[in-house]
Amino acid sequence: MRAFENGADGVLVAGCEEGSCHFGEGNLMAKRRVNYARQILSEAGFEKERLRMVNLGAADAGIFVPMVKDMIETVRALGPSPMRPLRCQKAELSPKQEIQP
Amino acid sequence: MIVAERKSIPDLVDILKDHQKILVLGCGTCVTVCLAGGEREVSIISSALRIAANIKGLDFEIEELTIERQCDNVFIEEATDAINRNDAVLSLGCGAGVQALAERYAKKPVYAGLNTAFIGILEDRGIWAEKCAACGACVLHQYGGICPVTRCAKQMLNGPCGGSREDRCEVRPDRPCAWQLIYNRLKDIGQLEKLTAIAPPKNWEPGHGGGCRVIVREDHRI
Repeated sequence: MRAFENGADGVLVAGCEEGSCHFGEGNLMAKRRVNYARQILSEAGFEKERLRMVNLGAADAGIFVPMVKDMIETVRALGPSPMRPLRCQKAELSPKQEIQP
Repeated sequence: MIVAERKSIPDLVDILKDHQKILVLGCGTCVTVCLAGGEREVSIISSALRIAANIKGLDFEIEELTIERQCDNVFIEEATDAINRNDAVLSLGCGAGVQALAERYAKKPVYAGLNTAFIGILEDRGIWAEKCAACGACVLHQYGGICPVTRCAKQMLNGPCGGSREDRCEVRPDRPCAWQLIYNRLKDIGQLEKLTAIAPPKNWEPGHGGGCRVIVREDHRI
């Protein structure tokens, strides 16, 4: 929530592969919390698609890269965060600055 | 504990839209335990309000604070400076907390950020259930510690109603029949004979039917 408040265009939360988390059900609880955050963001009028959780194993670099690319595509399609002008105000950046992967 | 749940963000924005400097005030007691109005929820709701305000073009300046107990003047005192420097307070306390603040700060708008629901317990992770209706004349000793006033949808004191399916309530099939629970419990503690007594009509006057309730303890008055 803080990341979006500060102008992040997207947040990708990466958790352990389901069923093989060292912390048991921590990744499953995280997924529920992320879904709750998506619901609150939606209520606030913010695109919930900017927040996503993915699950993958520690050695799954091969699938992690497409996951990140897909997230970038989603965020690029949505455009800059509506909170961006606020961030730019703080950092004195141009709101039209293109999203960098 | 008192169980509450948050109002929706659009509802909160609508309640607060005429104010700029807003204190979101959490309570560290019941509503922290039921995950509705503690420090964590203050942080989440404040973030959501900032985002919603920015999208709607509202100029919210939100300060966050959580005190130990909103229904007690001793603890409210800790929030005085923060309350004074803001235009309005969004209380994430229960209804008692909101009103305690409003009585203490007569000229400050204080709004409820939660819907106070009931007196209950955590039944399972993420599930809170009502256990007490605060009727003012407890009958739990007659029913093996299971409250028919609260947990029987028909508030029957001489149950069961006959409409239950297996052990499920006729009105709320997702809940157990209170009278099945009462029977099982009285059997387990060897007090089944209590069910042979006919309970007379209950005096509801100690409940809310008699208006706002006040308890006076002369031994504690000054």
